[in-house]
Amino acid sequence: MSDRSALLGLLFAVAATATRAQSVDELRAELQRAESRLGIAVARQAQLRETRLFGSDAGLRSGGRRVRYRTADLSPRDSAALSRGLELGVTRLREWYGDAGASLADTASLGVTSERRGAFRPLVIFSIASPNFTRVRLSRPVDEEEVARFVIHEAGDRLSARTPTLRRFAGYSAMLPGPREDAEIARRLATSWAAAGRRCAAGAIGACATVAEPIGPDSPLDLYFEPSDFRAVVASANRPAIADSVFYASRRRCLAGADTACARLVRILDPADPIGDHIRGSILTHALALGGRDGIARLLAARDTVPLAALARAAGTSEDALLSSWHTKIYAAVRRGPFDLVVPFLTTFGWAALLLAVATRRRYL
Amino acid sequence: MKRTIGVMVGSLVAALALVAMLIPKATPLIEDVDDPYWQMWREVGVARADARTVRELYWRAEARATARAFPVPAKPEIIVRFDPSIGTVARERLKQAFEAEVRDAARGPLKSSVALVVGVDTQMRNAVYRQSTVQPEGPGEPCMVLIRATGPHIERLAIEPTRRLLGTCGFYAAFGEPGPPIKQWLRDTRAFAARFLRVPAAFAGDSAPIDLARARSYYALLEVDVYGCRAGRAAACDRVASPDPVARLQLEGDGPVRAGRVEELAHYEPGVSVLASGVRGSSLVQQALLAKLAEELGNDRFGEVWRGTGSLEEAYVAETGRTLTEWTSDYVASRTTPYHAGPGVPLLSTLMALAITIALATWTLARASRAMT
Repeated sequence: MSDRSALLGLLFAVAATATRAQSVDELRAELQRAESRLGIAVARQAQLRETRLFGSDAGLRSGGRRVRYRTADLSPRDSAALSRGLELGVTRLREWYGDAGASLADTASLGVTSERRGAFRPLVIFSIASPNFTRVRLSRPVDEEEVARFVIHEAGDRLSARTPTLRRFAGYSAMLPGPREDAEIARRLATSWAAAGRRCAAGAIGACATVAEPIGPDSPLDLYFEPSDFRAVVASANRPAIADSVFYASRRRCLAGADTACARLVRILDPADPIGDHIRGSILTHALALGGRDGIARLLAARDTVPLAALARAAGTSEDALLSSWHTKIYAAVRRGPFDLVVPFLTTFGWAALLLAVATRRRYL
Repeated sequence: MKRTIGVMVGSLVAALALVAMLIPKATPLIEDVDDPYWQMWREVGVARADARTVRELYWRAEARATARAFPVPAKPEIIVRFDPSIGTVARERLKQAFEAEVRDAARGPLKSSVALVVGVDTQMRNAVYRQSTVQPEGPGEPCMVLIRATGPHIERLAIEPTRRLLGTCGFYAAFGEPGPPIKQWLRDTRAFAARFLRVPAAFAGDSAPIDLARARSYYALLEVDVYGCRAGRAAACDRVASPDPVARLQLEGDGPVRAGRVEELAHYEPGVSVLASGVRGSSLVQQALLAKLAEELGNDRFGEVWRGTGSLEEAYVAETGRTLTEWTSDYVASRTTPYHAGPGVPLLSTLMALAITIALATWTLARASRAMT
């Protein structure tokens, strides 16, 4: 009898424990444990994925860098080009930015993966990637110039990651000076959907200082945009997490041309950054070029919280002088010389003449 | 002749070979059950489902605990509370929006207390903010709208009066405490058909009905009963008015729920509704059902239904003489384009195919008759 009562008592106790509602604190603690378990599982999965992709034995070690790939994937010629590209990238970084620049690439651990595409999967595409998931497709056969550009780009990403103030000064132009990149940035500024970007392109250094500051929740929108930009701001703004027919109806009205709807939405939306990180990356590159071989060391030592102040310190000049010389440099890249139009003119003329000649000989048609 | 047959046979063989090459190779659903990567992939899925389950349990428990800690006001009033870290501009904007919505809902003296509580949740992931509605448990308690945001976003978050801040609390502000059957119905269905009182202007003024055939997608699973009701199935119309919380739970939210805890989560704190993200316009058909019913019946008659002692179905029949199923069917029909369930032939494509076939046949016959003459 007593055994039976004890058993029943135990069963009731278990049932009561099982059905007892958990308190908020208990649930909060359980949530933290569940999210921690999820984080560990996701990290372990990423590790296993890497092992799956690269295996354990394949790899190329060059200086302090490591590139992993499946040995069966790359030919000896491509492997050699990859190695030369890595060296070339580091050599250029050392040449432009001194040892501090080269050291940014030393710890880079890169991976080369392959994938097959097409209906019969005849195309093998190679990509090179870094641990922070920057991925670039490689042409075949592997071009060492392309690999070198990737290494420099990666070093730019690392530099901006190491200096929290300059986290938004990355992108493909960081640490990669060149007239082609400058011309592209000049064109993007001139055609920007933010009035400040266009004013900067026209030579207003104050507007360049505005766009050099990444837009955030507290940024004064009037500095960046004019009312005529509002439609573009709404079109590109981050949309709210909760879809809402009322919001989308207002958005549709704005995009159809209702300026009042646009003006209202602009004030409540979280606008997208009108100036991409790569344009700011170009300012970073220019500051480092002005700063010489000690530029990176000065930048890493700077404790400024304002990005432009840190860049001016690295460049060894004032903020206005930095922006002014940057503007002059990027617009010098798009100015055409008197003979730049000769080749397009001759090409157009040649094709027109050829087609005319064929058209007049009707029997060929 | 032989040559023609040879060409035909050759073409046939080539076509068959091409088809054989194009047939995709059968690949197993899970590549290798013993592969540690796929094992971990499954473990990640389980951990994700577990995290979602506990996260939603925590949200609901926290919302209910916040509501229980609230003092019961002596008379119906509007209560607004903000976390100290929220700036003055955002406070003022939200307060004005909430009060405007309450005034619009009550259209006269407030029938029941309503509260807006805005806080910050720095631990929240996968969302900028979440909004819950907590229905009162006892008499005199306020119906509470709880917003938790991830910090700086609240300053610029697109929260407007038209965002239906009040949610189900709009009915409390306008009609007071519901009668026991309606209260039970709200709990059983998680108030899904009563998510807001005023139909938002854009939805009500939208002259074009929702094209169900075009809106078909993964999200259509959420509105499967709307499709069934539009196709003339009475049972589906009943489910539009009284959705099953277990079925909805598995389709809403940011991932699957841990197996074995679906029932627990679906019925946990039924008076708390968390506004799911990704609710599209066509979901509003279902969410606006009670709002539309209130609009059609008018404040006095709907107030009697709301506070009555009969179920929603019985009260509606008593008020109008029609069944709620009939009304739901008409309501869904007024908001959507015709929809035919089951297999069918697309009319335009069929006509186009017929036209091409007739044109080819005519051309071939004309050519053959010319050759004969």
